[in-house]
Amino acid sequence: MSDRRRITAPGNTYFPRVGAENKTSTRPRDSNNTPASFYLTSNIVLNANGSSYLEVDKFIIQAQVFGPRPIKGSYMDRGCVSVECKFLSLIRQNGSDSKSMSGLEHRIASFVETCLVLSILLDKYPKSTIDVFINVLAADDDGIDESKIQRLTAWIVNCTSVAIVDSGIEVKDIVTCGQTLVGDEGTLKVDLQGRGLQALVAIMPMRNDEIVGLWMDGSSKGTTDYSLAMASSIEMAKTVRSNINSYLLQDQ
Amino acid sequence: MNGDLVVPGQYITPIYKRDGDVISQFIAGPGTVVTDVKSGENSVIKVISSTILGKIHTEATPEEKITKSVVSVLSTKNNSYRSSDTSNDRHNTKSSCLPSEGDIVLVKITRIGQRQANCELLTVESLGNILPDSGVGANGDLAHGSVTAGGGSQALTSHQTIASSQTSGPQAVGMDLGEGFKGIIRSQDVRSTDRDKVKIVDSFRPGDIVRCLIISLGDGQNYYMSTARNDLGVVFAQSMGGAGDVMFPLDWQSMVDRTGVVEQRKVAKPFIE
Repeated sequence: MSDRRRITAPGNTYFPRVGAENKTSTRPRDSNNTPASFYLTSNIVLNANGSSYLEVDKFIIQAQVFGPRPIKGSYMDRGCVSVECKFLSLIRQNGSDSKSMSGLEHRIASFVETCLVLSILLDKYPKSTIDVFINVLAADDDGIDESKIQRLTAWIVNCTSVAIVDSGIEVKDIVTCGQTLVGDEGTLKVDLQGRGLQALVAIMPMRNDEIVGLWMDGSSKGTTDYSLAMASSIEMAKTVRSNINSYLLQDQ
Repeated sequence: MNGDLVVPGQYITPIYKRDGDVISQFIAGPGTVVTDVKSGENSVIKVISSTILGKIHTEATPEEKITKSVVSVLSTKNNSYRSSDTSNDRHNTKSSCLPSEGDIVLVKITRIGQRQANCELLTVESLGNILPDSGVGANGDLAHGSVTAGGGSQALTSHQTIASSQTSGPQAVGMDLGEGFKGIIRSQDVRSTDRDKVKIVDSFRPGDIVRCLIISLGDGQNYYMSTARNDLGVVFAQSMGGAGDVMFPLDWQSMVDRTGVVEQRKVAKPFIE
């Protein structure tokens, strides 16, 4: 005999599998010469002027654009851009007390700003400031260090560009970024982090591939590595750009 | 071309096009910019490209020999304030809600003085609220707290918390960031007649919502506004400095509430018959 005092759920109840292991399989990369597949969406933060969200491998990045908002003081005939980057406190960083902005966060923010300032039509926004906030919500399990920062930055630039487009702020072109690793053994790996020479190139593909940001780090065996890494980073930036284009066009 | 969806940077048309004997000239309108595109080794083509995500809109003005058209890109972002059929409205072709000269705006009076009334800009007519995040957002490290000490709209107090800002320069003091756009209505701009006899206290009171025209971007602090037109002036006001009831216009310079209190205002007549 059933216990009538117990309120049981209706017959068609669905029990959520709380605590069950969430196994998401990441598809292996086709080759080392293509960027990783990524998930991108925009317009997710209501009170921001524009926002975007990007997942690639274990990175989860969110960007918000506020403004143009007023700036006071003396008259400025063009807009200002400020960028702030923040890792969630659960992401381990080397040598950070997580109270103030860490060195990595500062470097990412200033690189992103350099790229954006060249693309935004600042003359159209007198007396105002455009504030960009970047949140890194997740990264690799073992945290972030110098060897991963460039790949992360590449995707942060791509994510932020979409947020800018979403905000309706006028830009000359969408800035996209590509990253390449030339390994110690001389092999070229697109969109992969590791030991060797790392190149990060941000371009405006529709403006004659104008380079708006360049960051090379690591060790290389010769100058040919540099040109090789740069060319394939530009190639990746173009691939990402065409993906962003198709996302923007189909989203409407 | 007309009505096509374009992304920022996308080429729309070269500025000159030749089709047989017909030459068409295209002019870059709102939402577009002229880009130099390299073609071959030494030649450069001037091309109109988009600066926002939106739909192409062209307006042709046929003249002798050549056709001139203005190419613009209209944002696809929804704006509930934008009227549905404003294809000829210049506002529809603006890509941001940033107030500019000639715009009609709604402002809230924040302070009155002998010579001027200070106000805060709320809305640009037919464009919407100046910022979707108006008064909500905060700069610097405040942006990452869920609720800040003062509720979120206070000024940034430490400029160091902004990571990277190469463009703002030393003029931008931290305290200046993150508030609403401010404006001034000078006494000589309140009405077009008897301008020297205007008393600000008989025209506006703090808390009034006023419909104004932007006459100048002003200085670093304020926009300059005017109400010197019949359709401009106070559209919403409460009596007794906000303690009383909503008032309704009696004539062009007085308003009355339900209890019969009459107060002086520079009243707007927004509906023209």
